[in-house]
Amino acid sequence: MNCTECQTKITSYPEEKPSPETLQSMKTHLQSCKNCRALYAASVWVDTFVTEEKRIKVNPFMTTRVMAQIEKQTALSPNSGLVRLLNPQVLLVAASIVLALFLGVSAGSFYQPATFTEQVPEEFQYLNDAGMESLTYLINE
Amino acid sequence: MNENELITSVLNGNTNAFGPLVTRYQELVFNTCMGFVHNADEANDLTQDVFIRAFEKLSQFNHQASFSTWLYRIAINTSLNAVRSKKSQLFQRMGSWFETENKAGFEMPSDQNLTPESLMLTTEQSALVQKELDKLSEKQRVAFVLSRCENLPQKEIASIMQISEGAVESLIKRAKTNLAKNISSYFKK
Repeated sequence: MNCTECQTKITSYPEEKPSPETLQSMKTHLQSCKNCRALYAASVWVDTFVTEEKRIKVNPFMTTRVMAQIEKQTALSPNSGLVRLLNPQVLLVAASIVLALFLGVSAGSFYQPATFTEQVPEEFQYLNDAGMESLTYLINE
Repeated sequence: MNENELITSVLNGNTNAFGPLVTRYQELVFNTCMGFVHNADEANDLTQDVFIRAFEKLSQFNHQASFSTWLYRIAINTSLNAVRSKKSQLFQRMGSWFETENKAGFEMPSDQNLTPESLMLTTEQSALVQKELDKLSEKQRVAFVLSRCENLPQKEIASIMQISEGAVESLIKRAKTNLAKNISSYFKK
């Protein structure tokens, strides 16, 4: 077996598994060829790395994590209560109510009931009620 | 409930029906993400992102491909985006400027422990394999991850990558050759 054949077999593994005879001639070649041996060793390193990585398992709470995140997002989706409040129609109705209340309160504040404005003659302004004779006294007279 | 019934149920507003889909496919998505980022925490975060994206875009799933194929595509795109954004970070670039070449620094493993089962890679060796994996072109990397990390047949990889089976075979072969050649250059001669 030459280097090209050996290297092709190394890089084709595991898709193309060599026959026992090929494997034997590969082993013989690898013992004598440093370059092919290095290539084979590198392939084994890659295999080992992939095998080690595959041993790492996904977070056991992944489903819970994902569902919690989805729930959070759904709460902010266009159909959720909070976002529904930001709907233009809802906002228009709310603004109308606020405006009506404001106008009502303002109208109520500006209204002043009619007051008695007739001027009291000056001579009556200084009348001393205490000094006046009581009506009862005059009746008894 | 089968897969299609669960998908229909989610589309009809039953959010909880998405849970069994996550449970069923979490390993698949996690292993794919892990093949790109090589870090469990990052892969878990990406797995979550993939499922959230899948939930949001579920109405776009047209049943032309299987749900797993569709999920694989989302997982690959999400992972590649994560890898690209990581690469573009300034400190990453600065790190590579000051990176010292460690060529021809490793002893070649002896005959006795040259099997994946018996070999245990050191942190340095793992870092080297990871670095060389990251150097592969995106297409080679996707084909390699799906083939070696997920053990998918070439037909399915072709369907996921939307290329021919021949192209997949060639990508995997080139990826493995490049990896082996680049890593072997680190062995002491």
